Amino acid sequence: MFEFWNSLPEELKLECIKWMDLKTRVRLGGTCHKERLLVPRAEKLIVFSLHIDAVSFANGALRFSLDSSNGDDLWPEFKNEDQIQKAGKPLLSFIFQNSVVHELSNLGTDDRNREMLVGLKSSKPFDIRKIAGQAPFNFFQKCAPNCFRIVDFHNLCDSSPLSIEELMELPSFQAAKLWRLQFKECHDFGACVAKKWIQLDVDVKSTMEFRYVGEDRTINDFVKEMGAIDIVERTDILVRFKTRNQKKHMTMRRMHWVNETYLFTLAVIPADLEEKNYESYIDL
Amino acid sequence: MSVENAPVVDVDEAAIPVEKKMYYRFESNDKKEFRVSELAIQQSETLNRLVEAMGYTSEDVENKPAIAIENIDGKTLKLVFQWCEHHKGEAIPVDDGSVPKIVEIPEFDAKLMDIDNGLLFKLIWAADYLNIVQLLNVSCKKVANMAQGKTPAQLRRVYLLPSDEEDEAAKRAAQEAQDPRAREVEEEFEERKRQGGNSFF
Repeated sequence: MFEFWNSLPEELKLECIKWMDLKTRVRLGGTCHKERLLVPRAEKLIVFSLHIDAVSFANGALRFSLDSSNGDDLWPEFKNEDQIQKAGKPLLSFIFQNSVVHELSNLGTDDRNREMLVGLKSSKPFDIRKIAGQAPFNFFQKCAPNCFRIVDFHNLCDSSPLSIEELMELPSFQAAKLWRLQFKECHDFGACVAKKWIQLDVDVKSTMEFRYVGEDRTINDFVKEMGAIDIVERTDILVRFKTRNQKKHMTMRRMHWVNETYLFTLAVIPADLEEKNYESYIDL
Repeated sequence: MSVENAPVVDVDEAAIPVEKKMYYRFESNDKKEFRVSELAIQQSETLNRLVEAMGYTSEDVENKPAIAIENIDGKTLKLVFQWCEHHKGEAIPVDDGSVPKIVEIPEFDAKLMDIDNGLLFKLIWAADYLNIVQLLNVSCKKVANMAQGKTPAQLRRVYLLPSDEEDEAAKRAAQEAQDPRAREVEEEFEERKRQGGNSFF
């Protein structure tokens, strides 16, 4: 027992709360109104990884695992929709509002994975450094400006399409340096992404991959969409061009995938990378 | 290599520059005096700035009255200075947000803080007042650890917290107990503020 808790001024209570793990913070917030108001003001917890696993196992449950700096090693599970809505999502909201999440992964391709991040409360912006997998557009709108550093999206257009143009203009993505994007299709041959990457001066090894059906889609289409670019190398299957950073170039490559499907790959490479090393350098 | 087998080297002691250590004298609010090394004082940002501003020489330290610390008692100050002496020379944690803070309570600190809650409470206050970052960290962490693994009901007992119902009842009682005239004055003041009058004067 520590009977002097109520005699501590708020700033010293906050000094204590900053050492509490996530579970204890949630529970302290459940004791009374005063503490409930205090807990969100405490220094944010560092969550090293938050992995959401909403695969369609029995009854569409939600599971996630969390590893934090204050010793949390949680594997909560919410077995049905009612539990997810009443406890799962409020807990996720609490985590995102009271933590700096170094890595959020939501890798399942099921629609339910994206659903898990819909409708979360956000009185404070979410601070997430790396995101992998998928999330709905309104989730990104709740994220703090410039929070993302690494972005790794898969199957963005599989069911509920995200507008990549709008997404890349969101404040939360403006400091993202390393990107890995995979689309089913991309309406402008990835030109909007390429232009944004040049503007953000993203890191080498950033890649984007999308597919088109039909032989009529070529590298020329990409070059047209890009407008004025300073081309370094041009073949039927590849174009290499300069960026604003003289240490970096970009390439767009077209490869036959399967049947009549062609795979297009945009990549940021070092300006001094030799052609023979493309394959080994761009690891998709 | 054992101590017996270590090579013996003649040392001309006069040739070794002797670092003169300075010990400051502090006095608690119950008139207990402490001598604390210059290096230990560096753990406290408040005291460090104070002694720097005073610019005492070794003679001043001996001849002038001990520096009074008005709001900390001797028992607490003894713990504070024991901690500072033990941790002297250690880097003071800087909160730049770049790395997650992980603090383990060292054995020495755990023993030092094996004290009653009243004294722990005073120690937290003193660490905050004297701005001793790491002492504040470990003492607050000790209080945080008391909550580890507890349910909300258990937490209410650990920290003597009211329930929401008790909270509401206390708020109502406080409002009822308030002097009606004082309440009128407050309401009048709030009304004036709303109307743009900035004060009663």
